[in-house]
Amino acid sequence: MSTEWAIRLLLWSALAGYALAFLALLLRRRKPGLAVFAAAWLVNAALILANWLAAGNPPLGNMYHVLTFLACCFFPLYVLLARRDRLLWTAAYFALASVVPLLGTLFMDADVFWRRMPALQSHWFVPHVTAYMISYALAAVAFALTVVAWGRRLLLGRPPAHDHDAAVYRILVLAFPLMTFGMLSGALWAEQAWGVYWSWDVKETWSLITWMLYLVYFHCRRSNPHRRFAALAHVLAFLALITTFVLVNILPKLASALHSYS
Amino acid sequence: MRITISVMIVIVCFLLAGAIPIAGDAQTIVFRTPAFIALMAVLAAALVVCSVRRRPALRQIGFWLAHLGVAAILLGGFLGHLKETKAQFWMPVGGEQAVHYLARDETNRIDIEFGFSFRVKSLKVERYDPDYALHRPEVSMHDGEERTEYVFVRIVRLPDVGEIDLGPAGKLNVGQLRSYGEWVVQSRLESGWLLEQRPVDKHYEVVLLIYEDEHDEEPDETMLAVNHPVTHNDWRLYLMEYDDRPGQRSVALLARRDPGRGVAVAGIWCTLIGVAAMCWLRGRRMA
Repeated sequence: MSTEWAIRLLLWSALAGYALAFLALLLRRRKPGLAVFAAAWLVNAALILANWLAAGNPPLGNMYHVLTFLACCFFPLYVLLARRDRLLWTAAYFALASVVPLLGTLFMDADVFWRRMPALQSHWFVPHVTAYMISYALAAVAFALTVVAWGRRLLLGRPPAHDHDAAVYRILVLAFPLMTFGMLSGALWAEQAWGVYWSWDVKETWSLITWMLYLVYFHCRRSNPHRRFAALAHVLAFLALITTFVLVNILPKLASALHSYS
Repeated sequence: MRITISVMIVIVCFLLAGAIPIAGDAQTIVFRTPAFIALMAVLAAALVVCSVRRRPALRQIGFWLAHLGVAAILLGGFLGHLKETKAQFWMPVGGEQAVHYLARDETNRIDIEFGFSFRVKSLKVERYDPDYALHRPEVSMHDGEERTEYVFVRIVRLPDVGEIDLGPAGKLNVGQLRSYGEWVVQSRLESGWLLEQRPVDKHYEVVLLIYEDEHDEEPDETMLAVNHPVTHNDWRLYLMEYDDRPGQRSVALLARRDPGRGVAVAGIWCTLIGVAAMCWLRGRRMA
């Protein structure tokens, strides 16, 4: 069996596992749901290892690599938040969020044999991408929680059973320092590589917009007169995040010259 | 808090204006307007005022570091904007002439002395196995003559060994692209299609010889590569590009002196530590 076929098999298995875990958790079958979630995560980790062996480099060099890594972030983050902040009830959201990036990889060339270009041969490369991916994973779950809370209020006319607002805040305070690290480590890296911290490249500008909107969320939440705008700032921040992460890469008009490989 | 939120929303509006694509990245001019620079100054002032108004306490350390860190980044950036000196230039590899000044402006001859001189001793380039660009032949008539032009179709990534299916261009054994152990520059396939080599860089570096003065007979020998700039006195030298064609071996270097660098880097680290402390220590308690 060729490497590409093995990788494809692992990809489909992890995707099926995450989808099954989501369904089980949605139907309140907690224990089997979590067991399948953990098993799918192991397969996802094996997929990353296979990508690494095939590429001969940390597999974070293109959208396919990054999405498989992103999917792998959710389960450990769920375990952390469940233990630390007692957010056990969020398991289904994390399982659903794991499905989406792997679904995305099915619509692109699995560019397994990635070659690391000189600009990416920096000690900042892995921490920069990893910090961003973990923060994006957390931001995705926080967004899903906000949408569900809004949906329940609008459609059912009653608030959700759990305190979604507090859960969103707990998740975002975990994410925001990592997002800050991703952005500022990128500036330090750019200074080392090109002698300039910030080039106002499209991706950089959108990442700054995303960061600023999350800052607006935190400030609104701390200020009583503005607290009602916090959820709106959060949703706008996530839309900006999607633009930074996905749209800048797929819309030719927004193409980023300095981040053409990410 | 109301002013801070308002300033941040106005900044987001400016950023959006600078992110909407116009031909040639013309939109980024927004970030060099006096209005945007003034807005950054207002933000820096607001951050300092917020920090000063906080009651002194050890548990506020995260708040101070985060807010004053961002202010320091803005101050460092502003100092760089005012006082930075930088220019990119090409230097021959193995040239005897050492460079000791920076020609900032070719027209007005504003030269800036480095206070030392340097030359490029050697260049080393490593490459991955190349990719090949696949071109389709297109025959057209010009003044009664048949002319073949090649239209780029796609980049072909080669397997290590074996055969590769190029669709309408036919099949190709990878070994056919090697001659005496080297990858061929071009190969015309039996179908008439053309494969043209696209080199893929793995690593390149130069050895710089740095002379403290014109009488220095034992220059510092130092390696310069992408992501590994050389710092000497107040200057930083970066390797940007190279040309390794025989007879034209040269490298593009960027020389930069930025008095705001130290402030900006300190600001970045303060912000990172401060935001982490605010969110991961105090943020949890506040939740």
